[in-house]
Amino acid sequence: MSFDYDVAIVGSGVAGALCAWKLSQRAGVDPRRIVILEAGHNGIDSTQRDEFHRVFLDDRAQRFWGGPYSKLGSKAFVPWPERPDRPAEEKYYEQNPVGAKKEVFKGYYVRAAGGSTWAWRGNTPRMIAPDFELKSRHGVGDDWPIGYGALEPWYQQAEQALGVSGDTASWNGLHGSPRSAPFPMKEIVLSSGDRKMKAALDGQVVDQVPVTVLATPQARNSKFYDGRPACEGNSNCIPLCPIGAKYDATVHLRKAVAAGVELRTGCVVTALEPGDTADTVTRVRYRNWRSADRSLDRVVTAKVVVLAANAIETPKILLLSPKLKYAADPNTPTGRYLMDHVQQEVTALFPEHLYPFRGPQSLAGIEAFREGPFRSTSAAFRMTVGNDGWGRKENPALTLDRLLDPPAGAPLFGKALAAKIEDRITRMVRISYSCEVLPDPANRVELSAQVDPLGIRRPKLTFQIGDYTWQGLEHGHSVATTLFNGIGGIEELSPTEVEPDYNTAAHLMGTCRMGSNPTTSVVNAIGRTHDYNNLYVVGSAVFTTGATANPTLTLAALALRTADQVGAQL
Amino acid sequence: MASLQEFLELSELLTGQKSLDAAVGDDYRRRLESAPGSALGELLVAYGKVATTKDPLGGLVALMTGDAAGQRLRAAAQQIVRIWYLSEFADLAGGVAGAGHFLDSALYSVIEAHPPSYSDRPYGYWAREPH
Repeated sequence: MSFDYDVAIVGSGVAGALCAWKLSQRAGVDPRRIVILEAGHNGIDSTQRDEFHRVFLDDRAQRFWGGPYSKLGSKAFVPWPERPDRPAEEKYYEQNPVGAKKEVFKGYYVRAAGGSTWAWRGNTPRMIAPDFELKSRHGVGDDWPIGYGALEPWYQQAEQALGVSGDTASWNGLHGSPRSAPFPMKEIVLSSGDRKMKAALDGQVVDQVPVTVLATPQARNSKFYDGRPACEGNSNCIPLCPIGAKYDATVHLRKAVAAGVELRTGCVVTALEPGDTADTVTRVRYRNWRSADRSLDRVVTAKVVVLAANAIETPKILLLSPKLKYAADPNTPTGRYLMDHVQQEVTALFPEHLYPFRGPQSLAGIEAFREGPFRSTSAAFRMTVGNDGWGRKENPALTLDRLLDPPAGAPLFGKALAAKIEDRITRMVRISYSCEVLPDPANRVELSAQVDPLGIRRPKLTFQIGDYTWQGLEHGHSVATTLFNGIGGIEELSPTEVEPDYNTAAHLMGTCRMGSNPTTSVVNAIGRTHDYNNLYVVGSAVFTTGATANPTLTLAALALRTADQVGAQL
Repeated sequence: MASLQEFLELSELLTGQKSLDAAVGDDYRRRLESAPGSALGELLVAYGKVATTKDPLGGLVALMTGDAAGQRLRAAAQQIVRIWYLSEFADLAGGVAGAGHFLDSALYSVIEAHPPSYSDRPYGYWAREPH
């Protein structure tokens, strides 16, 4: 049987881009027989970056993370979740609050060529070895079908590909996770404020755990690397690096396209269909919203199909496919085990000037609580020492607002206002903690009856974090508070009690999870679906558990590994 | 139309910043004057009454009483501060828009940083304190 392409990849975020690039480099593979179908439509070069930057400047007043992307024409046809504070009719997900705390899934992403890496922070810690054995070690969650050791060479490849800056000496062997080679670049230098926080926190012992502040590995250049400049400290990582020092997936999209891969934008996949045999998927049905007839269903055929559309859109495609097994099976694991990292932060005024907002938004972290005996009863967490003042709680504009319009007392003006701004903001600091959420089959992506502008059913989500993670948030709050209280002269520590709510890290994971049991997993240890021998999934949808690491480096390593397998199958 | 000189003097008083850029100020003045419901004219009249006193800022704040007129003065003064500090224009209905001079936002020089996305400095500058 002949096919239009050898490989069809759905989605051009970091997983899809790396997969396409890796395949394009493989001997014996013709890159021109690889197509990427991307729902969004935008450029992938510096002209597009400049345009996003211009919109950010114009859109500055809206003060939200999606500002640079707010004028994309694609959004009229390809919506994505953006602002949880918007009215229900503007929201992309359908979901009903769950439980006494009325929880909803708050994660969001960008549907554009290059995906969410346009807007990510750029932090790239690896998962640690114990993360892959959560069930064996701590009796909760599940074990991955692969271990850290098997993935380590792919972590090295991913770090080389993305360009990761890190402190090799400090990270080698952390929590039993050795490195086989140094980071490609030295760590991003800590800010003057980070060093003051490190001096104040290092050596404190909390819950019998000694604390050390470490430089966070980042996909951000500490020197000229792979044709991209070193970081200039634009302090704008989220929502957009204006110079491309922070990695984003357009790096590998450009490489893949230069090698001959076809990137087809404006193409929203609506279903997959079997091939000549019941255990293959070779037809990818999509609509091109940029064409004259947006409702026309088009098809490409491919020998191998790779889904790389993130942990919401990938299972949505599988569930939308009436000719595949997933849609008709009420017990399918597809769409289930939806996970995120949930976050809180404790803020304070440091006794000295820290001068935040100079350099990247976060450079340093505390890794001590990512593993420990407590994981049998409460969630582990990664901690961040921010370089962005009070982070999500109060940005500088809000500080000004509050001084101009205090709840009580007279507003400040003049030199007193300037002095107060200078005193407060330069001493603002946060310690955040990002907690693991256990895989729960009740947390899931389904299909809503509501449709998007193209008539495609939207995602319907159900999500709550469970007592294990609520206890983790409580633990994180306790640790952060103890650390701050161990610094003499701290003021305005807040909150003094753990809050009954959380922020999202926008780390969508788990809905096509990896495993050996087809009743509780969708793909095998190499990312191939259990049911279709030429259908693969890449991206953090395949995560068996969420652990505590920012997911991008792990999903990149897995995508490169899966791409190798796809190449071998061609 | 209010004089640019008066507007700059008033802006310096309210923001605590000196040597405000006249071209930027001209743009801001026009924007604030033309906004629906603008109270800039009233604020300038009030400023004129206190400008030569010992404590013009204190005198101006004292006029920002709880009645409607006082609240209009307060809102207009807050608009001036926001537009210089953030290059954001907040209208009286609470809507916020960019005012076109983001690079000149005073807040970032006050905290010895730079407007987000506009560093003109080399790698690693953040490792050193600003002075």
